[in-house]
Amino acid sequence: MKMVKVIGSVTSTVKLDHLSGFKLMFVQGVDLERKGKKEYYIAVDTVGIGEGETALMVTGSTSRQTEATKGKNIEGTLVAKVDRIDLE
Amino acid sequence: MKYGRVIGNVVSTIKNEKLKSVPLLVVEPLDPDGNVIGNNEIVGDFLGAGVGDLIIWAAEGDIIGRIMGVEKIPLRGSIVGIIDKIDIAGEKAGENKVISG
Repeated sequence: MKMVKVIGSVTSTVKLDHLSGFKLMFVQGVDLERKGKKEYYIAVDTVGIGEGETALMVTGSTSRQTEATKGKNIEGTLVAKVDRIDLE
Repeated sequence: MKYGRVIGNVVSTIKNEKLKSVPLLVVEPLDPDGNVIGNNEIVGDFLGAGVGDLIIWAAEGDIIGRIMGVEKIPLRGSIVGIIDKIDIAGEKAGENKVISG
């Protein structure tokens, strides 16, 4: 899974209809210190992640393993909010 | 899904039967400042995107066939949205940025 930070939101009226109803989040890959990497994605949120927050994103077919995204052509679903990372 | 821009299209008259009705567009991934940050890809388009459009594309393959009601379409990667705008929150207040399509 990738760790990403929500840095914005995307507005798209012309889109495949199974994407409608989802909030499209503009996210940036981050390292363990939550510093931004040169990786940007557009992801769908299913757990209520807010702007500026850090989340875990699943990609590939796993993106469709949630009730909300089942059977939809979605690639990149936010499935968990990161509160803290404890490293030894 | 990835954010990028359509930079061209692929003309192909001899191709798999199922692809006959699908425009094949060349897209490249961008960062919020418009710099290219990866390799370009060829994806199918079901939305009528044109060269220069900012788009959202998914690398997925088999799902598109099921959604479009076309089984066994040999297509990996498709445009799923044409972007109107992206609102980017700036680090500090007042630094917000809007990327418009």
